Amino acid sequence: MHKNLLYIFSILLLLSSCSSSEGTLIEAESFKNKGGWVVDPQFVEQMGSPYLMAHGMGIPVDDASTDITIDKSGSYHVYARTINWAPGSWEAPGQFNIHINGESLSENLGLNDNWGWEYAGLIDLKQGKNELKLIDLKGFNGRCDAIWISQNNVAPPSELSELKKWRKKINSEKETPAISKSYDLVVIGGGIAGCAAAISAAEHGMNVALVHDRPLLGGNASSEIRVHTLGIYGKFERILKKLDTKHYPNGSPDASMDQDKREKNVRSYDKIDLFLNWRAYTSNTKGDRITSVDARHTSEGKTMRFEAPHFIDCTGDGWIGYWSGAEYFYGRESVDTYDEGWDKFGEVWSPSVGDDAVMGASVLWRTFTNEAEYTFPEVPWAMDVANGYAAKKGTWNWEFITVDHHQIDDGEAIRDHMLKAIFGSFSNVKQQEGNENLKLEWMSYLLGKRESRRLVGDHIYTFNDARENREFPDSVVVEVREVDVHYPQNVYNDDIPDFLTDAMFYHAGRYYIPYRSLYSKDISNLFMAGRCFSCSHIGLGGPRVMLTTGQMGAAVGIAASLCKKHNVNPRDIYNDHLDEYWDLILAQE
Amino acid sequence: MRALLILIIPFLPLAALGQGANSWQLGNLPVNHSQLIEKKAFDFNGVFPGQVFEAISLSDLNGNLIGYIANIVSPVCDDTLCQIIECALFWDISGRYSGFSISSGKSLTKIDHIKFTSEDYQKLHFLLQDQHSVLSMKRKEELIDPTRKIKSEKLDALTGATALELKDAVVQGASYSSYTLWYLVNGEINQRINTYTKKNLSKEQRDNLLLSKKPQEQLLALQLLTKNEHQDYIKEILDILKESIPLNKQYILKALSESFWENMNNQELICQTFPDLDKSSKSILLGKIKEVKKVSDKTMNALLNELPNLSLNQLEDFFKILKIKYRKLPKNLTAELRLMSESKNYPYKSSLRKLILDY
Repeated sequence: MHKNLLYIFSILLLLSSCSSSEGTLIEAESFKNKGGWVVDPQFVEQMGSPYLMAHGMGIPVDDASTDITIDKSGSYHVYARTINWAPGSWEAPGQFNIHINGESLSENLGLNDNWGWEYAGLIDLKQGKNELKLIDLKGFNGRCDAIWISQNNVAPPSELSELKKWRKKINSEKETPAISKSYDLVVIGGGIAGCAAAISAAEHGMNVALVHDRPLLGGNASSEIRVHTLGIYGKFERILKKLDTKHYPNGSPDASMDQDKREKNVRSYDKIDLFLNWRAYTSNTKGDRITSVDARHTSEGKTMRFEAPHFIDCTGDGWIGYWSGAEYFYGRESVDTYDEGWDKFGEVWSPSVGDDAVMGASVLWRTFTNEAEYTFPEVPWAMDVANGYAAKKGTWNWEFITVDHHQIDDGEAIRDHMLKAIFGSFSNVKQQEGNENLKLEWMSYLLGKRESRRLVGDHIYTFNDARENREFPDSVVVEVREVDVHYPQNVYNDDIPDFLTDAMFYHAGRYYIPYRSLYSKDISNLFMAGRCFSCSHIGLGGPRVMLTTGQMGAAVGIAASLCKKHNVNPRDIYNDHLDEYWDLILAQE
Repeated sequence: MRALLILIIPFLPLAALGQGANSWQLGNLPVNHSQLIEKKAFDFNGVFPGQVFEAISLSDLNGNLIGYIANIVSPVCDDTLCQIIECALFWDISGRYSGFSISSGKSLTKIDHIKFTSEDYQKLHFLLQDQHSVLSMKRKEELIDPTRKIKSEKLDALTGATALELKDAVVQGASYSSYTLWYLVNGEINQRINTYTKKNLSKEQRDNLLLSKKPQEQLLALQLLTKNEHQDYIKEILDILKESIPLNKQYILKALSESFWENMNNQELICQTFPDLDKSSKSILLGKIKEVKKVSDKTMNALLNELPNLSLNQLEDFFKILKIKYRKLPKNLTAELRLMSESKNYPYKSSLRKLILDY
């Protein structure tokens, strides 16, 4: 007993000595002036934090800067958490440097092949305010997550779970967010489905929180990703016309016009509280119910709890369901799982043995002819991926599908693979005569995802629902667009670059998606709308486009209002209030 | 109509447009009619409502399926500006379009009944081979841009111009013919042929097809192999893994049973094809090996040789395989891996170091 007490005392002593170590942690995404660096929160769950990225398309971006306060003047060791995103036998493309009070630190950064702390240098700092700058050296997507300044020359932990604990301690972050807000409904994800859900719920008297991890609404349709909306409006034309896009070519700057319309329309609803740049990071449950969702501001780091009787998962990746323990699918089912075969395309349509080669994400880009000749830097780190391919723009079929990469777990690697594909293909086209003035105009750094986790509902929507034009008593979503499933071109020829896909179109005619595919079968107060609705891989092929997902959002927004009215769960709407639900849907048209 | 064909055995690729006595043939066509057996296979729907055509199977005198033919007589549009098309269409035994034939004195025509040129026929053949043509996502009424009209020179009429986005997917001036023929050769018939062939293929012919240079036919034969037969066809499987297209490699790697992988000799032989595999096939293979109970030395060596070329996820799978083989990492192997983790050109140095450390 005595020995045990001594042991516990020793551990406590050790822990307290750890917590007393001096240092200042600066989260890069919280920099006051971000210069040309962009905040990238896409891969928080995999690498631990939003980060700043120098997305310069080959031209170093403007410096990011911030002020730091130092308690005691002296010599300080500086570390940065960063990564070499294209490691190999070439110079790292994402190098940057740190300047403090105008003085450059000794080491260039962005050199290690995995996220971790790199030593930037030793510097004398004055007591009080000091100016810290990130200097991009290459213009090719250098990235900085955080900076640690300490008089002890010890790097913070690199292993993700240890780092998380350490960060929490350094930031004095509490388990529970200090601020809680209560709503009738919380919608997580501000793509077209999320916006439509928020609007329809608000129109039916609900106080709604719309939580979105980007500064702009619209997800894949936003001017940050620039995919045009496809599909039909179904019974929700009035709402969806507030959110949709014209049929501009994918990647067109015309996306910004529809962006303005969408922002204005969503903001016109007093009952919608918009939380932009807030990314959900966990859900809290009691039994089979979600009680709240916690979110963190993507640049300020502060946290907030959102409480409500009902939640809608419009995250695309099914995060809310995933955190809550909802059953979900990922991957391509075998052809026999739901009897979804189509011999015309056989194995590439639906494989004999299931696998994880789901439809991939696109990164759109475009070029323009500059007035003066433009020299693009050499990109040796991109040439293996480009594989000799030359192009002036990228559209929907620039999409990386492979069994080796998971759309969520390997999201950053997929995005980086697409960056290499673009830079390499552009470099190749620049070698061709007549392209001397060609310059990159725009490329997204956000993944335009097609497929991810699919949460399981009371009905699993499959290809056969479309092929047989099955109507349901709860057919709240309708579509006529072809069932459109993608596969990598290189399955037929390994010489074709791995970032190009082709599409298979099945003309199904009119098909219907039942309401029962839009709520979780095992989390009693969770709806879902968007690509994470309850379906098979092939089932997703038709309804994954944004007007269809928008219909899903609008439909569940109304259902949520009935849940509130009758104090029931989503499933009860189908079982006990279907007629009333239809009345509301038809009345709002 | 069938008599219009000139038939030879087997299908022979015709590198250029064939024109003889005012007839046209293009693609891999069976010739020498007297040595083929024709048999009605099934009826299939045309593009217009109620339209039905007969698919005829072609076999050699030994009963081996050679391909399929359908004789087509069909309108292509709803007005008088388009002439009826008369031609024979061919498919291989997997259901892929393989060519067409136009009989002597006949011709496909464009707007104003202008006859197809040699270049038009070549373009048509090229377009029909594209299973993923943009036409696949278009309805007939979308072929024409209603805002752009062109005047017919022969008839007192205006007709719509081809929608610009479809310009490269059709023969210029023959949008409706291109559309109709594309849907005939790439419509429901593909899967009907595939199903018919699977039911009617002899074992002998299936075995021959395993070595076919035509990947679609090879895949069809692979799909007819049962799990129990895989062991007997190990030689053919190895050849496919070395030489075929990624789709067929991935198919067979996924299809092989657990008991097949547990056989040390099979493991070794399959792993020796690793350098010939595409990236996805490599991932599938590693995924299979990491599930086995025992890994042979030769398997381990074959994979070790490929270590520098593995992706990060594949490297992690490799370490799972190492753990099946060695409870504790052998010293010489540790040294070898450490050396690699220090190599200047190796891209995953820190990940490899961590994997060694965590072993």
